[in-house]
Amino acid sequence: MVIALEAREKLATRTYTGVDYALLGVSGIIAAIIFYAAWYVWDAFSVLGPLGRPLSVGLWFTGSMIAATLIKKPGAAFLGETLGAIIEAILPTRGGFWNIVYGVLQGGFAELGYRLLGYRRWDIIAGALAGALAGIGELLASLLYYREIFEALSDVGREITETGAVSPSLVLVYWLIANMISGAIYGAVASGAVKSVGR
Amino acid sequence: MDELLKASIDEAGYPNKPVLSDISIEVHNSERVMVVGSSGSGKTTLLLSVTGVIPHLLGGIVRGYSRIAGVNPLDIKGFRLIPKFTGFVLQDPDKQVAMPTPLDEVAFTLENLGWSEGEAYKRALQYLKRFGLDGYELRWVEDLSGGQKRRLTLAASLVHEPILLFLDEPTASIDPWGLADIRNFIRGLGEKGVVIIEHKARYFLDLVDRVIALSNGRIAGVWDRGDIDESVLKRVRELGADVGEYVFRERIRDAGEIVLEAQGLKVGYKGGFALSVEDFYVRRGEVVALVGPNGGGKTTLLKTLAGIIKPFEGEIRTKGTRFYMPQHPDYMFLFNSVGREVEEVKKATGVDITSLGPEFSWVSRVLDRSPYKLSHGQRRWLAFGIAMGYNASLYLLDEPTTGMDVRLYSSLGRLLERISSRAGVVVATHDIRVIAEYTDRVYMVSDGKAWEADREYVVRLLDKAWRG
Amino acid sequence: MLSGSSIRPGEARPVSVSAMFLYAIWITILGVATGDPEKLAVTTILTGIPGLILGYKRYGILVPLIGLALIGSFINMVVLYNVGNPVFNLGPLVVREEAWRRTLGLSFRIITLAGAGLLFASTINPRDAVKTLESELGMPRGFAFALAFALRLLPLIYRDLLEVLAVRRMRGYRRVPISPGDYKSIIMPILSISIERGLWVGIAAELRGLSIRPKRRFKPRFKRMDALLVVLAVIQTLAVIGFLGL
Repeated sequence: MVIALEAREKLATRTYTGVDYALLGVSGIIAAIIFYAAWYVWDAFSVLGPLGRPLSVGLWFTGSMIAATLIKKPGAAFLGETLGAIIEAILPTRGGFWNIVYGVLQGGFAELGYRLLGYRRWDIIAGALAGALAGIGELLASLLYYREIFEALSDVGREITETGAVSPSLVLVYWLIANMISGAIYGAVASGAVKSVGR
Repeated sequence: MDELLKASIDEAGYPNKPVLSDISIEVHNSERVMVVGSSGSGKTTLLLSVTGVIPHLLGGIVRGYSRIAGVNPLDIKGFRLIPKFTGFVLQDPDKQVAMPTPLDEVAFTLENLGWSEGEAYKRALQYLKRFGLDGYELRWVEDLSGGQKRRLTLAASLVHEPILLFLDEPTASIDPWGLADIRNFIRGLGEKGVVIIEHKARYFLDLVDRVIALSNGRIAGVWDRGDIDESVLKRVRELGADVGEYVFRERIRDAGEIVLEAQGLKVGYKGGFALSVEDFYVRRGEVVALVGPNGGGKTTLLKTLAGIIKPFEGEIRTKGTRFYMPQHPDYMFLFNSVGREVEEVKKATGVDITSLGPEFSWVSRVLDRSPYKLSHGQRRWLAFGIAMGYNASLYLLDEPTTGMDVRLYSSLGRLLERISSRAGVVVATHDIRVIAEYTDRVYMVSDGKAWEADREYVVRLLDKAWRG
Repeated sequence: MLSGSSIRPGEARPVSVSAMFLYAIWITILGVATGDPEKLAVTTILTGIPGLILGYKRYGILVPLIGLALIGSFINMVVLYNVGNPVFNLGPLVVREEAWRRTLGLSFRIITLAGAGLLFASTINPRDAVKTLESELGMPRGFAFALAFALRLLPLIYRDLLEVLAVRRMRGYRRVPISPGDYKSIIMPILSISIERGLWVGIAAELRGLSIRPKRRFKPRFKRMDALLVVLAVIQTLAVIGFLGL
């Protein structure tokens, strides 16, 4: 029997039921597989240097859009991305447990996107917005992890900046813009894909 | 408590889409009640209504009354209590089993009810053993055969000793041997009340105390113990349900040239079991069945014949192209609109699916829909259309009747007839009807071997197997 | 077969699941807490390298690919920070102190974090990890259920994937996905089937009492060998806070 998924949206409660958690599981494993594959995409694109980032980083944000588009409840974007990241860490990938930090921050900022829209839109526009914002979360986690790249932004490195070939602040700006563009594109694609299969 | 289930539903369904009206059902201690009807008659909705799933999980509406052991599941508090004394077995184990290992799956029920870890594992192990799953406790569930997965769902539904059991089309994805397991399971339930939702009424007729027939969401007939005989089947069949009966058809057809031939074949997965096939062939114009218990290697053999898996030994000689169709139609779609699928098939093969015949006329009306949003029947048909477009000289179908109702099933016959007029067809199936009605020859696949067997003998063997 | 599993999660392993999990998390925190190559050399030697060795045995290619990340960090640092005294020459390129120190710092962090994760993944099987996260480390029941179900789906999805790839071959499309369209057309049927499964599994789980599941929190069952992890963690912590004079 095919059950009408649409009718679920009319449920008065926004608390999670077993169905929501099961759908979260579905989104979590699909996201984890995408995250896992994204490492290879990332490596393949690394031959393009900095141009590789906008082409692939957004793949790591899609756990939010898959979960949100499926579950359509507050918290789904955050939980979906976090769950995907936890599974990715267990699978494992070379990011190790730090993946979870990425997941939490990316998921948190993606959640903000859906929240800004009042949790009323779950379409590709919302997906694009959430994806773009997730790019900020990625940057925050990267500021810690890749501290050696960005450090010149602080006082410690100011003198170095003047002698370096490229300014680290330029790296920061590029990093953020690349994240947001990539996140918006992959976010829209992920939302669209889920929308067209969701029953 | 004598009355385990008492429900009278005035109306149930989804907003603007009522499914059930004026239904009442009662189940007492040690009573087995079977609800029959065609697909779309509201059988599963009935199960989801009286247990409160429709209002609490699916956003639907139930107006009426329901008590399970005196508890009202239409109220959220009652809904949360009923797991304590009810057990559920759903259609497809892959849509029910939630945990990665059999041990955790069975223990899950107990953990939810507050059992301590040690006690839960102890009891779960006992029940796994009772259902023949010892040695599999910590395997991935995916390593189990279809029949074992079914037994796992039975163990998990019974482990907390519920007083009322719901079985929703337990025969849907099971071979005749698995069916025998389910029948034994029902026989051994003693005092418990049982509700079986099933369209293949024939398989449980001798085990139940009452039969309730549904049609278009209403009760179309009720029979009690004394009145239950073969005439019930006739009545249910008139309502459009497949009761599981078959007609053995003699088939004398002119088969053409051999399109696939293999001798001394050894097939299997690396590190897994192996299956040896001494002699196998398919001719253009015939439908050949691969038959055997779940986990016996039917699908592996089918995929080897299709060229997807390489055989360990031996060679497969083919004439023309082969096309493999998986069990689930969704696997066949590569694009997110029906129109794109039609276009791509046309581009690849020159064949327009919409002009394949009357069975496909509806396709042109849904070109802008996503194939995944079609009904199950439409998805199945679109998948067939795509396959037919490729005009292969051999088609290999994995369990094509899964989830089909009577109407779909009878048009499947016409479709097979059409496909096999130009090509050879191999069908992996455990559906007695398909073997008796649509196939020309049969290979048995069991105990590490595959051999050609007499068709009538196989049909009789399968028909005896399910009785247990 | 799940390797090294036992009825009670983690029983078949010399260290407890919880201790291994906490260890991996703690080392991850240490690895990010500092950027000094000297300090990170300690976590690299005690956790990173052993993790990579164990990880290579189990996961193969994953580990050598870490080399790409190290090369990437080197290029970044040379472009951004090639100042200070020359350290060595790489062909025509003079690698200077600042760039080299930063390369070492980031590289040691990458190895430490990857190693900590791989150490956990190669000693603890996923089933034990999931069970322990809920029962000993307090993960909420709904989220833990989602995680366990995700694990149940993994082999099922692998089976789906083989079917989808078989159909792609039959229909004459490339099996190794290259374009985003390829990826989409592989993921969509799998997603569609998984959603249908998810809906029913969710219903079944509710009917089996998921929403009355009590919070399961046992005391972590630590084992004697966990003491070794504690000692290792203490040494690395001391190194990072500078107590060892590095």
